[in-house]
Amino acid sequence: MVRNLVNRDSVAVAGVVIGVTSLLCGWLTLKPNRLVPGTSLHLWESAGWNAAAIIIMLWLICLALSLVVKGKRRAISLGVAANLIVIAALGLAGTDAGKLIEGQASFARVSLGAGFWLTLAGAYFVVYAARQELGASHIWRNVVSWSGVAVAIAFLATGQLDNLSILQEFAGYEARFFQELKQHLLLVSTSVAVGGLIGIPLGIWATRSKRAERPIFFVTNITQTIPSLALFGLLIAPLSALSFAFPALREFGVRGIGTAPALIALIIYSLLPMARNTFVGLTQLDPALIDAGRGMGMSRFQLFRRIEVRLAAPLIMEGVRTASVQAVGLATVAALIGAGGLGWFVFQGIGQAAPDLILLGAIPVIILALVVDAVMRTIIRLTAPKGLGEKQ
Amino acid sequence: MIRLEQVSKRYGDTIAVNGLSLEVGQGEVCVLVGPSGCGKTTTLRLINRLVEPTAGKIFINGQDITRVKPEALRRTIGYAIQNVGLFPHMTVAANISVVPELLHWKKERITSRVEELLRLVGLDLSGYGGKYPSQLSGGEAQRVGVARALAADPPILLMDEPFGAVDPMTRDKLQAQFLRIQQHLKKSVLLVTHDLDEAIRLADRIAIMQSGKLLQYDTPEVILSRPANRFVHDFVGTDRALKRLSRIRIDHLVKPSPLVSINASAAEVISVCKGCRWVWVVDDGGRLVGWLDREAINEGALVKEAVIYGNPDDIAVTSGATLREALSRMLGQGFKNMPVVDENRRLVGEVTLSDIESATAEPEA
Repeated sequence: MVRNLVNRDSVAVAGVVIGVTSLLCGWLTLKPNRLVPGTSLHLWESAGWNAAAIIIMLWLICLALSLVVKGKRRAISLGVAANLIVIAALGLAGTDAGKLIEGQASFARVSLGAGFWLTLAGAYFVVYAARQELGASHIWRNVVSWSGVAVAIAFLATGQLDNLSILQEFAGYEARFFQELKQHLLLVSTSVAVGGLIGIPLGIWATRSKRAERPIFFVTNITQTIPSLALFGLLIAPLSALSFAFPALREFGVRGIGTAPALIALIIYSLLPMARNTFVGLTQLDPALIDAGRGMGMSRFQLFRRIEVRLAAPLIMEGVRTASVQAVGLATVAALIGAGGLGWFVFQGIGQAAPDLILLGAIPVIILALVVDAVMRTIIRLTAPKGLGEKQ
Repeated sequence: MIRLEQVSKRYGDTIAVNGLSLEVGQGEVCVLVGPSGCGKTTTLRLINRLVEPTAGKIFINGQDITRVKPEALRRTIGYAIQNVGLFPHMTVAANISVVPELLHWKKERITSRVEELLRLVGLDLSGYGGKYPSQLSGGEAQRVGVARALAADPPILLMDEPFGAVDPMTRDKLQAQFLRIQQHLKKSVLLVTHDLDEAIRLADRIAIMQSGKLLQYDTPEVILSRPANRFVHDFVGTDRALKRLSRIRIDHLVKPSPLVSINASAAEVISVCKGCRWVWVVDDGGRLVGWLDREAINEGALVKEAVIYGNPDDIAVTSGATLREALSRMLGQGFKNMPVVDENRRLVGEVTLSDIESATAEPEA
């Protein structure tokens, strides 16, 4: 029957299916301490039937909307309903965690269960579908995309979620968290900046010299395929040797482990997207434009600066965006060789078998990647040369 | 003005241009024409040093061009190409300003020059100056391309299929406009095309090339009436007499014609049109409406009450048209007389089939 409904939005329906089935999984887990497995509670067990009914009702509204009506109104209603689910889920989890932990020993923890995470995933499927349908209408797009996030930030700020295990981990490591976050950002920004200073000129060089093109992309392609763990490991030996041979280098942090090898590895990874996009951006230009520019008497440098770089800029920036998002993820692994960053929590968590500590590292990495992506997209959109993409 | 002396260009084993000698006089339009791969574009690009010759010399105003820096040379030669090559990230005004800016003109001078050029090609600064190339139609883009080539008022213009990428009707308009502009500016133009009709219409002299060699270089009339060899003969084709017609504009064959206003009475029709069967009908502004069969109008009736035949867009030619267009229209419509209108569709007279016949019989050359 569902198959025959004309106005069906498959993505939203998928989101609802995920959301509803998520309620069958555990919502919160009460553990006597942070390491041992605890008792899993369903939504109705932790929050009561009334609260569960509200969430189920919201899902059913989403389902009805995604099957029956169509258009901008539907998209807005869907988006609002999905965000209400997110807000309700967060609010309930915070409140119920407080209730559960009351009267327990001080080691006791309340973790978020699979049901909670799947609910969020389902809700954001629906949000995505709503965004797609909203199209260019910016105000509602932003409301639909960000209101759940905004409330989550408000909950964090007001302490609504403080009784959840992940925030208790955060409380235990607060100073460390900001220090590692800073280190993470430093690793990402430095490696992308230096990678850009090398990769973009490499891409330009490849367009100028057929002889350079092949080795440049051979090397950058190969390095891209080395598993990150291996590359970090491989750099330990030569850098240790280097710092033993020239002890003065140690003053600048050049050692087998630590920030220096991490940065080198991240820089190497960032080269390919930036060099490749620069190369493609410059070589895909319409040859008639180059011909016109030369024929009008532009010098090679004028042609490059006024025409080629301007027109290739969006693609080059796209390469910088790819490299940045990739670096946010890869920098997590850098913690393995003592470079710190948010990966530190991940590896600590693995070592201690403390899943909430892993999440304390992993969730900020995901958020950071999304934020970097959004920021870079905005920059690209704002700096793109006018006149492009306005085809009649 | 431009002189090529025994110029050759080789790419490895292929010879693109082979011992070419050619002279283009001041204010002359020389059209290079030939099948694709005949070396015409290479020849053009040799002149602004986008291609350097393997042998031979090229002089502009008696000066060997290899003595001038390529960039400096190119800034004194207008260049318009087939795909227009307008820079998509620059407005129309910025595109036209490129060469003046390279020459460090003052800002006010550039602005007034841009306005002047846009007016010259029939666009206006306020409407088009701020547009981006992607917002232009094909014909508008080509016109901006020509304006850009003329920006720094270069004495020489190189044009590589400048009217290539547009529909036939737009091309026709652009060609007419080019001839009008050229009449004022008197540039020395070297234009490349593969379209012989375009060459015949635009050229003072046509250079026919094949496999890098110049086969014949002469006025269109001579090329059409006395092809130098078999290849030129075949290239020109068996419809040479028809092609010659596109060299002659109809304006000097236009004769006054009987016409009546749409508000006239039947009596007036009879007085205007004594010996004729039919008469052209115009509106209050003198614009052509169609034609009227004299016998179809009832006595005492008004013209507007009678059946008026013809759609002015189909039956009329403009005074700038060539004999070839007029003849083609006449044959198509089955007319022996064809009304001629000006740009505002006002009737200026008519041409007759017999006049075209006699014009064809006595070629100008």
